[in-house]
Amino acid sequence: MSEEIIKLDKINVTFEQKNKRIDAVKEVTLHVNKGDIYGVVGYSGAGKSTLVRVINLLQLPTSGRVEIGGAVLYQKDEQTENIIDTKTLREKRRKIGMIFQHFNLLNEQTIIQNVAFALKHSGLKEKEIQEKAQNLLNLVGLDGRENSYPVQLSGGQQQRVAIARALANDPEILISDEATSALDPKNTIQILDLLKDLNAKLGLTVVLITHEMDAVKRIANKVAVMDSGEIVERGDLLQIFTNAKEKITREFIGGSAKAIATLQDYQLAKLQQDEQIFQLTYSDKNVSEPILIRLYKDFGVEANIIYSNIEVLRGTPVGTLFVIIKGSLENQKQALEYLKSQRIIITKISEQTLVEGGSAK
Amino acid sequence: MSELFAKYLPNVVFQGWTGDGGWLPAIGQTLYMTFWSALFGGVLGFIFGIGLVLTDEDGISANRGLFSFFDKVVSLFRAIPFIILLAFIAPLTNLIVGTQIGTTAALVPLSLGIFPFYARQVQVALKSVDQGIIEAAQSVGATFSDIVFDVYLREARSELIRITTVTLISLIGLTAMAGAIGAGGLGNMAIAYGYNRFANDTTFVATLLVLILVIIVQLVGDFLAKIFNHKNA
Repeated sequence: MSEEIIKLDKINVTFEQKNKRIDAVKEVTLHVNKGDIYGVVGYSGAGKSTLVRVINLLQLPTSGRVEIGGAVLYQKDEQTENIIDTKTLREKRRKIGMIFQHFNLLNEQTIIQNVAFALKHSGLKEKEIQEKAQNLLNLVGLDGRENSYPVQLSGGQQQRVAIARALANDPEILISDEATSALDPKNTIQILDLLKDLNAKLGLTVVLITHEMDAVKRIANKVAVMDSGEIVERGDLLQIFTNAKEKITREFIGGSAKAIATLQDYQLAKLQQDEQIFQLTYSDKNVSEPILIRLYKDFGVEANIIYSNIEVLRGTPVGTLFVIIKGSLENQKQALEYLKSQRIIITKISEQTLVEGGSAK
Repeated sequence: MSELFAKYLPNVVFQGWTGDGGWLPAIGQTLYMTFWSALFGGVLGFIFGIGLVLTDEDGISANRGLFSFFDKVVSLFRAIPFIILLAFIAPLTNLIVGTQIGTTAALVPLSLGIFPFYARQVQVALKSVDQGIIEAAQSVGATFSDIVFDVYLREARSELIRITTVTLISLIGLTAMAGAIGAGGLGNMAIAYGYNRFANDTTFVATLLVLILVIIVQLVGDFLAKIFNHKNA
């Protein structure tokens, strides 16, 4: 499962305007493994959309290297420039599905025609195309609506049509460009779950562009955070969630960063000599033990909860606790060993972090 | 009935149905000029309109040189007042149809007069197709002709019908002016037989017929535009 299906290397995208040069994407390297749901988050204008359009060359980069499923689609450095020919590019694009914020369906064609449009060059016979289009519509839960026009459907349904169209040529990659940003919360969740489902069932690799962290938390396993054309932080969802380094990441993620901000704002963390403050992160796998009681009973360590929160990451509840631990150094050490044995992630928070710097914003 | 006509519309009756200056030939000439110049001018305008969109900076075959060519030609012809164009291109007319006067001769200036107008309208209609839809089509590997026919022309179909209606109505107006170079038609009837001879009833009836023609075009156009529109249900 570690085959790298998308390899973007040192991608630069520069837009030249009359007397301005805009570096939309700067030296970005992004590798996505087969089967990943890779979230790319950032504010509007961070360059996320431009970056993912490079994957199927809807956006031609200024320099860099694009390799999809082992085939180099684009390569340009100082000496060489190498762009795949138009015909092969069209074939490659069919293997990279894409969905958009505003669905972008053909308004003058019925939804089954919309899906069939993507199959026009599939080499299938007309009858097979109709059959396949119908199956795809069934797959996304739109059976019975095939002869409707897009305008007759709700936003969520239109996005389902767009997904059916994107999947028409059995792609290995699906790019979702803010696909849930124009939908209401209920439809957002349904579309995200559908993507997760397709990822599980078809082994589809999903690149999920969004400015909504909730979408990423719900389905992604990896995250990259973009700011001003660069990826400033990346990693596994849980790792980023519990241990974000960049300020902008914390703004997006919430989680522990939010906790730290709260603690700073209210100055809750005033420590005494024999006290230390820790962030404990645990999942549903290790909640059965009454850990705080054990700390006291077995190690004589008092734990004072100053902040707690639960978030759901990929369907797994992840709890964050900020506790002040009080006791002799030796006892504290034993207590921490015990917590580690319970597979609780422990991060020591220095008093400094909580006093200095003001809140995350 | 015919007595009533003879009493109140004496000049109209005097023109007669057929023969030189008759009503039927006049109607026929107007229809003839409208039809053929709509065809020639329409095809030319359509090509230029599509060309303007495809070769534009954000078009699917961006080409600064070609775009500039389309743009300049259209702007140039739009800038020449039609009545001057009639006279101005007379030598060209002579070259193409072998004569400078008459109904057929009018087709050349009419076509050249209407095509830039139509080209601009086609350009606007096609530009109204959301860039995102074109991008989506490209993302599923659509070819150039898929994008032109299935996306641009099909998506803008209703809008194209609407602008074609507007253009046809303008063209009917131009055919009236073409009467000035002896092209005949209802315009000529209103001016030469009506206005110039103080036969106000003739002018009136000729105008009425032009109006009826315009209304028919408008109604048919509106109807078709509605049938082919699925964008706003």
